[in-house]
Amino acid sequence: MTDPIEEGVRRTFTVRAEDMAPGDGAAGDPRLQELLARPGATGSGNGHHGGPGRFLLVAAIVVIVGAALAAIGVVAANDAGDEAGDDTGDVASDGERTDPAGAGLVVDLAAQRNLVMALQDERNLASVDLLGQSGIVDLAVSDPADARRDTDAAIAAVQAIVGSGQAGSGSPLRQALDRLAALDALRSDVDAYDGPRSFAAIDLVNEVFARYTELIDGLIDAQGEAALAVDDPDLRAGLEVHQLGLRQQETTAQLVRATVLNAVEPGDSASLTELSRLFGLVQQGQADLTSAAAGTPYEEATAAVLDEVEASGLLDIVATALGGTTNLADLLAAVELPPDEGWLAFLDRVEQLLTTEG
Amino acid sequence: MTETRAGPDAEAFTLVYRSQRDRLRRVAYLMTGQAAVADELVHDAFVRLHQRWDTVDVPAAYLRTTLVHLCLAWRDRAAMGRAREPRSGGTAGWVEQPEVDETWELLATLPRDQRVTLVLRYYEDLPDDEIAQVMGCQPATVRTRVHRALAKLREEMTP
Repeated sequence: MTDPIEEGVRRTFTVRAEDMAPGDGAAGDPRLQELLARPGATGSGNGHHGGPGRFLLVAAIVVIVGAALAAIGVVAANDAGDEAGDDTGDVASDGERTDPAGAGLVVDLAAQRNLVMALQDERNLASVDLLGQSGIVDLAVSDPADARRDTDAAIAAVQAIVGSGQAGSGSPLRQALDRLAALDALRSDVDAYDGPRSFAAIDLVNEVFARYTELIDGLIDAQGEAALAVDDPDLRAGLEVHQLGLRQQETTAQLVRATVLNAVEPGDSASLTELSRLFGLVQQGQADLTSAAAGTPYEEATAAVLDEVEASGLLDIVATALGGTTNLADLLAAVELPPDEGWLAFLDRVEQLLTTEG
Repeated sequence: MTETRAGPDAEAFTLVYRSQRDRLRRVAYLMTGQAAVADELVHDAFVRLHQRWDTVDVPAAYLRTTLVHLCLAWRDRAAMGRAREPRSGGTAGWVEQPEVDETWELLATLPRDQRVTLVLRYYEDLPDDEIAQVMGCQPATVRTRVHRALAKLREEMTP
């Protein structure tokens, strides 16, 4: 039997489509005339691959990508590491905790956040290094060995949390840590590459980026699952908001990268689809964050960071990119926020509130 | 650093434009609910086709995919409080159809991705696999969006 709702939708579309009267005959259509008067498209690599011009463009873009990713994540990764270390020290040396639940939560969240950001640093550096641009992009961590040591230290810190019994054997965090066993193979594959450090490695770069991203996603997802098990509503809200903020920071980094890659590969439907997907995720993430923070102590901080993102113009730039025009200079400017703005400052604020809420 | 090419053949491009424009305008209107916006997004899609003519194998498919992405990405800052646009034409003239009007107003309350999915299924009559390809998601996601959208409509329309 036909669903009346489906039939109603179909009929509505049929009827309302007639609102759009047919346009003028094509010959007299000013928009068509405008299109036909446009010069041939400029751009590198449309339907062509290789050639010195394309490599120069890609090299320039890699610098921008690296700087953009650095602006989003790297600097605060070091700060988060310092915070985690300080908090651990204070907690360890304090005989008594005045807000045990809050301080413990902040230590846990800061350690998990530090691990996510260490992996992001390692991912960014591997990508830039394989493309032969590590001497050009100014990342806070410039040596792959240093980046890996930071990650290993961050893993150890989180393992200590899990080992202390705060996370059960079946806990999401423990499972996410177990999945980090794939990191050794990933690092080996990066080290095993003996080809030219240039755009020729782009396929490996994309694969490496995806594999690191999978590990990062697992850690962020684990935070979200863990939050659901907390009884206290304000603490649970804080964990959810923190996780959603961390997710937005990571998705935004991916969105920036996808925007640049879409500009490099115009006409590539896969890159356009991926950009559209990430754009949707960022917008949905903002809505989820607003909903999670509503009526909680984190509402004001959430509204502030969303205002900052809006003011940066990043989403407008991406929306324009989806329409075919990407201004990379504007994109870079949009992600270079002051230290007291943006997602990392937001996470700092949430962790601070969690301390006072505990 | 870059090379300038001649651009698409005027006759070929005009042929595609003539054959696709009106249909795309209707699709964009159904997806966004706003005629002026629909015209702008369709023009943007053709601009992009013009830019990438040499790399596009099937212009019609490229235009539809691009238009869907543009409709999904379009951000209407003035959406809140905007008065409903009057009907802009149609050969049948205005006919009172309260059920159609009610459904149309309810469609405007759906999340953008759900509305776009409904248009692709119930106006473009695309199978779920093809909708998934156009929107860059899994077929299961398409079915979920349709289910949720119809459930919302059913809930609002049930007396």
